[in-house]
Amino acid sequence: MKGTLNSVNRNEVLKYLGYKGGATDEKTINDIQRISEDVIKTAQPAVTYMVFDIEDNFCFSGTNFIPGGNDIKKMLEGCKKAVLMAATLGMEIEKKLRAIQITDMYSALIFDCCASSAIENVCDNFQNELEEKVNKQGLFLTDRFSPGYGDMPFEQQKDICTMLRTEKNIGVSLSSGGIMIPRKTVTAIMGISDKPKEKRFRGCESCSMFENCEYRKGDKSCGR
Amino acid sequence: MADKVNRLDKLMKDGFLFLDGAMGTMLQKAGLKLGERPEAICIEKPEIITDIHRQYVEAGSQIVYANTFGANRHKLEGTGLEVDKVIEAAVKCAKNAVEGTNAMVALDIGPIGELLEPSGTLSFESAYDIFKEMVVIGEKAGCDIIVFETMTDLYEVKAGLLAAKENTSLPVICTMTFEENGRTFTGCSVEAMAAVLEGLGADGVGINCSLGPDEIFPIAKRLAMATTLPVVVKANAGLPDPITNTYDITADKFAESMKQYAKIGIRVMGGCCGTTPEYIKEVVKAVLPIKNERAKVERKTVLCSPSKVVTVDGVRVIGERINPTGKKRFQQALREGDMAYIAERAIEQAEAGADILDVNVGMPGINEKEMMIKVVKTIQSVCDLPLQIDSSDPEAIEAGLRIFNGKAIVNSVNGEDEKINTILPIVKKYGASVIGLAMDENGIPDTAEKRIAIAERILDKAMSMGINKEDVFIDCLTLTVSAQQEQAVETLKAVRYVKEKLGLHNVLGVSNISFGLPAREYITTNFLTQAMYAGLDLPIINPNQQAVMDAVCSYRVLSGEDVNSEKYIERFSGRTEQKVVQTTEKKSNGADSETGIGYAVSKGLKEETARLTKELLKEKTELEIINELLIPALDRVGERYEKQEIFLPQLINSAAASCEAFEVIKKSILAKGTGSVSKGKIILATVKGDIHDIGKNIVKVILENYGYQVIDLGRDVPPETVVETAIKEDVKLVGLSALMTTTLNSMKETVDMLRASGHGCKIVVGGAVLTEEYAKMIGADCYAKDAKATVDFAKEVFG
Repeated sequence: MKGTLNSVNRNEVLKYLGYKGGATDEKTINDIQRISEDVIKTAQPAVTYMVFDIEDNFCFSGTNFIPGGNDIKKMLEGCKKAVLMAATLGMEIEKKLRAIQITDMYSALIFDCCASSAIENVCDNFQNELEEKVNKQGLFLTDRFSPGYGDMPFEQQKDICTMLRTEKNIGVSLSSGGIMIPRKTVTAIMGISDKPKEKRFRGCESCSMFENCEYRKGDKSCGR
Repeated sequence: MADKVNRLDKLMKDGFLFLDGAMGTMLQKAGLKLGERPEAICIEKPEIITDIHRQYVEAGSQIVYANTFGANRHKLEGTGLEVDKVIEAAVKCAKNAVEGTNAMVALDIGPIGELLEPSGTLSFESAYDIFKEMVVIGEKAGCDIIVFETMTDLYEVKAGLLAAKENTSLPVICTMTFEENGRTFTGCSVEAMAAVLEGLGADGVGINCSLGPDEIFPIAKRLAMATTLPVVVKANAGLPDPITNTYDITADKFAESMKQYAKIGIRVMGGCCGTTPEYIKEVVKAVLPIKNERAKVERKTVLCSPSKVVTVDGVRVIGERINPTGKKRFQQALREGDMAYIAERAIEQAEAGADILDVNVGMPGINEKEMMIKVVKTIQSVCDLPLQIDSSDPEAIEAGLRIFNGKAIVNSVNGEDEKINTILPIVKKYGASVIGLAMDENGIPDTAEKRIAIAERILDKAMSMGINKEDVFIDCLTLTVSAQQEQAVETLKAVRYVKEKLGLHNVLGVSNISFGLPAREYITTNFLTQAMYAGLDLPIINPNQQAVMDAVCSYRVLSGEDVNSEKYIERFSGRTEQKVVQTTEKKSNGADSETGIGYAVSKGLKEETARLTKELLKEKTELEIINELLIPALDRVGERYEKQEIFLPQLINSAAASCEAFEVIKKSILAKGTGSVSKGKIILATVKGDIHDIGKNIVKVILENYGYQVIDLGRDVPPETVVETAIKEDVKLVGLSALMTTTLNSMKETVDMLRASGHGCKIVVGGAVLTEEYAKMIGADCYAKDAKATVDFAKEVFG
């Protein structure tokens, strides 16, 4: 199904670009604005998801899938159901980025960062929509958790893609190296619980980039 | 079997041909878990599969698809299943089910599961091999037909169809999966699919999966207008519900909806996800009484890439700039394998308004066949225009046609028997269009009549080989008017005849007309205009020349193609009289004053930098400009970046500006023939398994601006390639990048292999997940945290 992309967060883009606070010049700001609009126009946001019952051992009912690591299990504790989702910006973004890199590396870099922010926006919009629906049923949605966060193995991305049949449903496949293509794609898990759960996985501590994060090197946080 | 195949052909053309419905849906009903490989059941519990096929045959399916959809090498990897065992078992299940009936068995082939180049990393050649393995086993196991389905990448279908046609004698149906906008996920349109697959010899084309019958209908209608082949449709049972995982259309509604297909003569049909034998049974019942025929397809001349279809129903410009003849800089790029330069020439022409790009890479000292493959792959990775494969070497032509993802033009054959007999069969095999030059072994005839006679001969030969008339273009040949003045009129006369009497499209290389004359532009555009008026619709020109494109743009208004002069107005509004170039220019001093090149670089002013470089070349040598002006300017930018006064975008912008200066300098050196300004060669590569290359590309731009020659090996580069290139090119510095924790191992492997080779190069590594410690651990000489750090290390290495 179609996803919703309605904005690109400028600050997020600036952070991806390596701005560590301080003044930003007018040209860069204007260029980010122009390129953000291009990203929104070019993207073909698409989302696919499925809802599963969760068995006691955290196995997703009707599959052999058990999310790995303790962090995700902590998040899903007490949830009777969970949502598997995948969202992508589509192939045109991928193609365009490739072409801009040939003629204009400066714009290509900004384009890449805008697209990274854009895919987060698509995920957020989907999550909000779903949360609204779930709340109406008197239920609550947990955070969004992706393979590679915390101690959940990155490799489980492959299982999620297989179960969601992302290749068929949203045109996302994996390279032999395990990278999702188009690259601006996110897979994630959300729990559905009958009581509100503390939104836990914000901040650096649960991030697999903890050791090498550029933001942290500069004593900043990525704001997640 | 021959009987069955003949009957199949007849059924597809005359009557209805009913296919089966979903296999996956039936298997889920039988207890298959999500994520499990359905192919395994053929071996573990064959009776379940046979029973499903049997139910379909009983419901009226005349072809059942064996349970081989994902039985390819890639998808079965790590499952313990083998391709031959699975296919043999699956075909056996299907054959058991059809025994004693008239039904046939299809080898069902779905997507490999990994995306091909350029977006993915799987090569076209590997995809071909994966499919070849399947089709050969499938034919041996006794399949009657091969079906490629649920495809979204036209390139992948092309690999499959070629594998099937070259290695089996079975008929082949190809169906792709479209979204409601009429395109697949990779951007392929139905019209492009029809043009390419019909040309490659598919026996039927169609649409399956993703949407219900009502949503697919408008797309199928478009397809039926774009091909004369039988059209095949297998729709889903409506749309899926993500919560219940079920589809929303019942069997009788599905059948009702399939009637609209029968009414426009689409007669090869079945069902996809969510459909069951009941659906097929209802469809058969509902559509059989409908006797309507397909409307006659009006044949058009179509050239395409997957996402861009160019219909030749007006003047379409063929860009001529990808050609080394007489272009030193282009020759250098070919010699050095500098694909970025060539990619830029493609994008530049596309932006200038070219509709098709001519690709010629023939020059002494270059393996034309290999270079053709490399260049076609490069161009189609950044530009979606259809290509014209231009060579006199049949092997290079075939290589280009094979690797091009789309329908191309071949440039060219002429009236010589040898040319006709070697090149036309290649044109036919790959479903291309072809240019016939109106000349033969006796040279270019001096009258229009004689040229027309050759054109007619080429047309006859082409049609006798099964090439469609609309795919034959004639080049009546432009001769230089300053040498043979009377010939201009003869050419125009021939062009008119070819258009009006033969009904063929005309191609002409235009610019040759003005060779040797001053102010060539006037003669060229005037001849072009007259030729278009006479019937030239495919001019081969330089679209970067404004006057030439102005002429085309104006012609389109007068011919009525540019409705309401919209494009003309868009092009010319805001065009003011060309200003006379300033004569009172201040002398550039090269320092950071507001007129100097240093300032232009620091502000990222590309055009200004290039202009200033040209000025400076009058008084300084190339090396002086680089060492005294450009590099110090870049160093100052680099320092400001380190101090975080500016950030990555500005750094890159400055580099891009200085890149313009380097282009000017390179051309100046080539013109003088005074050698090179290269400070040394550096290899850059994103390691095997990783495809995140933007960081590496940034480093490349910056290094080039310090005068280093970068050999860019691209992304997903095997360690062997890095080692081989390092030794062959005797490279002193190798830069490796990796962005993922999962690909750090490949980086280590590459470093190890470089060290083991004994080649004494230095190695610098970088990428988001790398650290100083890790770099040390894997034995790299330097960890570069950014592009600036890489340059610093390069300076150290090269001194």
